[in-house]
Formats: sequence, structure tokens, C-alpha cells
Amino acid sequence: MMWRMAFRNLFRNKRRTMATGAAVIAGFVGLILLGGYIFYVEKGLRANAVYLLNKGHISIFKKEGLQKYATKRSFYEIKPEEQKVILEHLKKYENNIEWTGHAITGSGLISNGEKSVPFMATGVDLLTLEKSLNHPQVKKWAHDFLTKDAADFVQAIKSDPLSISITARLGELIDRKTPFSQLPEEKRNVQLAGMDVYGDLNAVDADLSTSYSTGSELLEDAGMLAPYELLQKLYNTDGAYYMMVYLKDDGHLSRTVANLNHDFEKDNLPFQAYPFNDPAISPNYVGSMGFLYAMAGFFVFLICGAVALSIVNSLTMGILERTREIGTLRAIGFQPQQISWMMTQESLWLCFLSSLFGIVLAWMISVVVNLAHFTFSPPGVAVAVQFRLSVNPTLAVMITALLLALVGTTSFIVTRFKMKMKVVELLSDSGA
Amino acid sequence: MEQLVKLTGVKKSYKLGQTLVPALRGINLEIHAGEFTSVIGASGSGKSTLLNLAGCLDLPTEGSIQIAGQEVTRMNESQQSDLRNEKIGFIFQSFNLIPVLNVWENVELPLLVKAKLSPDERKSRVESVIKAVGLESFQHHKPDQLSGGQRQRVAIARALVTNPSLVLADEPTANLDSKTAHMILDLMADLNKKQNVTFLFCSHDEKLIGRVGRIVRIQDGVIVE
Repeated sequence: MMWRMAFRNLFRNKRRTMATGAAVIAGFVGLILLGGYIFYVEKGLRANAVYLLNKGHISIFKKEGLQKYATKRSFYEIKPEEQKVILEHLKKYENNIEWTGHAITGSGLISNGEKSVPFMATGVDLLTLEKSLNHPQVKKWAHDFLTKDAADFVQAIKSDPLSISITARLGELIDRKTPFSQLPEEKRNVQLAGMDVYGDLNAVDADLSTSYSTGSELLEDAGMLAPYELLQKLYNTDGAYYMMVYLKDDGHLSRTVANLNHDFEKDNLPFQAYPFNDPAISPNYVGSMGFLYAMAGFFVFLICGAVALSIVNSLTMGILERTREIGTLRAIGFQPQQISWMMTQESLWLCFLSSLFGIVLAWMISVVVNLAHFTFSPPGVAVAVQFRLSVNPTLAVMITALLLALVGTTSFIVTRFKMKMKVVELLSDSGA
Repeated sequence: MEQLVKLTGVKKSYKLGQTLVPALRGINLEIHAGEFTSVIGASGSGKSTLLNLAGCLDLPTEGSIQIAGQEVTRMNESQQSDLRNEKIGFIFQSFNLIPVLNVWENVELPLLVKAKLSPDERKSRVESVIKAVGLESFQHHKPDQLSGGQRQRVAIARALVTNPSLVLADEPTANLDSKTAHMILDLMADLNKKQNVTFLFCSHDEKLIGRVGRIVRIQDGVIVE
């Protein structure tokens, strides 16, 4: 009956209940949309880092290779026989591995015959390119990072192994405009020059096929995606800079990486595995998410503070108005904590109902915002992305639980504090 | 007769600003089981203070209070609450019903303090006291759908539902017209006679005192009769 009584008490002062409910709803909608936005951005940046930037969920380097590869490439690259050893060790985890890949990176000059500009290239095996560009996670979360013809790159390599994909801005720097596939053949043909892993100069021919985006403003002027073999040829090596491991489920990523490193160490192998969310692997992902989490933390603090203050205000008024009633309950034998709990139940009801209403409202807002197709370029991101809001059911449940805990705790503390009055004083109160 | 309440040398003072105002100046009083006692006195004489102390709603500045053989002044807040719930029923001048609960629920309320009663026993007790006060056909009504007299009957039923040793009533008829006031007193007297419920109530209405078994007259914080 106490829950029923608490529920009915909500209708005593409808205006105040509605005002407090509105504050809780506003807080709930704010939290759920903020959470939904961060959730969406996180998924997008994660898919971009893992699949489109070809880092995999796990990147495996030669020990210290991540830091020193550029200084002594022939030493820190992973040779084909070492790749076999790594693949052998990965068999232990094969149930959760979707596929593995190889990548080589390097810089050099791209020339149209008249003009040369620097590039920074990543050479990736065909399987990885094919799987990554068509991966459901990319299609669902990171399609903003894909150019219109990005997915055609794999087909282009299959018909022409010299095909490369460069950013639109790098294309402009060598006077080639997108779409590259529609350029005459002589305009599509470019030369790549670079220093090989032994320090000698080398050059190869390449064909512009498609454009892509690095997703990062800093890299967009020099980004190049090339077939693994083409870059190996340019850098005169049969090795890889790193190997990628793509997981089916990345829920236990840290543990898998730790286990893998433990295996390498145990077998005295000179390799080091990193998760994609290591700052050295995906500085963009880590930096952006760090900023978003800090911003979200600040807003969550503000929103929770406002909700808590509304509840405190509402409860204080409720207690003032019902002082004599509280006195009566005390007189007939209710313990102070029982009355506190009863009043807390009232707040919990209000919070629960407001949360239900808030879910509907948040969903409606997200539908409207998503239909409006607002686009913007976040700081440091090279592409314009759509501002999307999503109402995630798990997040909604978590936020409801958070608000119920916040409201419950606040209510209990406030009412316990107010229950310290003597029974006779409560009974003699004339009411607010 | 069994002694229910014993006040010995009870003094009570209230602080009003810097001044200490004495409300009771040394009260000795015993209430026995089955008594129908009225405390009468002028406004400000200390009768409500006396009832509050006898009802364990307040503690004396000095003196000893024993209720059902237990020394109240040595009890903590939780023990006092338990004592009130188990041994004492309260009837208030303004009825003090919970407006969001109907008659049945208001009467049932004191039984919810302790979880030891089964739902069947609760139901039987509530039914029985609602019948005793003649409100069977109003059990689903909310307080604002009842007359003053009916509300006070609900309050009486609520006071009786725990089978208390003592029922305290502070000016139970003050907010009622004279006819209803007499009906309420008749009901209390009837319950006292038939069910041996011990009543201690205070009133400043001299017209009602002829109906009670024992009168305690109080004046300026001292029992004078």
C-alpha cells in the first residue's frame, strides 16, 4: 500500500508534480540524447579507426617497431617468416578472429609528370580492403567517412594492380580532380617515388582509381591508400610494418591483447600487440573520445545537479505542506526511516514516469533531428558528418537507473534530515 | 485494575525565545485499564501537553512516565514509535486522516508499521473496527467525501485497529457540531463499556464532562481535581 500511497501523493499538487516531472524529463532527455550522440560518434570513430584506417582491433608490430620503424625500417619490419609465427600464435584465438591482414606504411612523392607533392601511404592487402570497405560496422556507423567511390577501390585493384586511392585534396595538389576513374588514362597515370627500406631511392608507376578520406584534417593533404604489394615494391621489401587482427567480438579486447603479449613474451618473440584504442595507434579516436567524455561528464554533472535540486525543492515543499500528516504517521508508530522511504517512493514514481515520458520525447526529438540532416565538420575531422541522435535502449535503461539512484538517494537524504523534528512539533504544525 | 499510565512528578517547560515557559508544574496521575477519563481545563492550562506526554509524543523536562509498565523517558525514538504503535491509539481534533487514502486504507495504516500481521488478519481487524464505528458502507470513500463526524469515526477506527491498551483523544469533538460531538462521545463511551477500551481525552467543553467516568481538571499546569 505504501507504493500506492506514494503514487497517489503525486496527484496532490499536480502543478508542482508536473514542474518537477518536467525537470526530470528535461534532464532525462538531455542525458539520453547526449549519451546517444556520444554513442553514435564513438561507434563511428571506432569503425573508422579499426576498418577504414586499417588498424584492426589489434595491431601487431615488431617490438619497439611502432616507435622506431621510421628510423630503421628493414630491422623493424615484420618479415614473411615472422608473419607466419604470429599467425601460428593467433590460432589460439581463431574462434574470435574474423580475419587478419598486413599493412605497410611509408611516405614519398607523388608526381603527375610535371609536379610532385608528398604523400603518406598505407598499403593494405586486398582481403582487408574488401572486407573493411564493405563491413557492416562501417556501413552502419562510419558511412560518413566513405567517399562515393571508396568501395570501388577493390574492384579497381582486381582489374589493375597498380590502382591507388588518394584523398581529393591530394588529387587537387597534383591537378587531378575527382572522380579519378573518369580522367583520361594519361591523366590517371602517376609516379610514386620514395626511399626504400635500405635507404635507396625507388619509384613505381601507379594509376589513380578512386578517392578516399583519411577522416583526419591533418592527413587529408597527403593521404594515399595502395595495394600492399605495390607499396612493398616501392619500398623494396617483402615485409610488413604491422599486422592487423580483426575480431568478431571486441568485448574483451584488452584481455586478448594482454594475453597475446604474454604469449609473445613467454615464447621470447620480438612482437608487441596494441589495441586500436591505444593513443599511439589511434590518436584521433582517443583524443576525440577523451574530449567528448570530458564534455559529457560536465553536462552530466550539470543535469544531475539540476534534477537533484528540483527533487530537493519539490520534496521540501511536500514535507512543509504535509508536516502534520508526517506527524500523524509518526504518532501511529511509523519510524522516521519508514516515512522517508515512503516519500522517496513518491520521488521514485515521479522519476520512473518521467523517464518513460522522456524516452518517448527523446525518440521523437532524435527522429526529427535525424530527418533534418544537419551536417557539420567536427574539429580535426576532414569530412562533414551528419549530426545524428540515437536513443539506445541499453543507455535508456542505464540512465533511468542512474536517475532513479540519484533521485532515490537525494530524496532519502532530504527526508531523513527533515524527519529529525519531534513528533509533537510535527503535529502542531499548521501546514504551509 | 491494571495500571496503564503513571506520571510521577512530571514537569514540562517550553522555551519561547529566551524565556522558559512552564506548561506542567509537577503532575502525578495514574490511568487504569477500562477507565473513561477526561482532562478538562481552559485553553493553555496544559491539558494537551499532558496528553502528548501520556501518549509518548513528547518527553518531560522532569519526572517519570510509565506506560504499560515501561519507563518512557529511557526509551529511544524507535522504541517510542513501537510503543505508540502497539499500546496507544490517537484521535486528533482535526482527524488527521491521510487524504489520498480511502477509509479502509486509513484504518489499515497502523497495521502496516509491523509486517508481522498476515493480510487475512489485517483484513479481519480492519473490517471489525470499521463495523464497530458504523462505516461499512463508506469504506471506499476518501476523507473529503465524508462529513466531519464520519471522519472522526474513521479516526476512532484507526486508533482502535491495533487493539491498543489506551486511546488518547485531543479535543476529539472540537471541530464537530454539538449533535455530532455527542454521537462521537456516545461511540467512545460505548466502546469503553462494551470492549473495555481505555480512553483518555481532553476537552474544554464542560457540557461533555457529564458523560465521562472520571474527570481530571487541570489549571496552570497543575491538577486541581
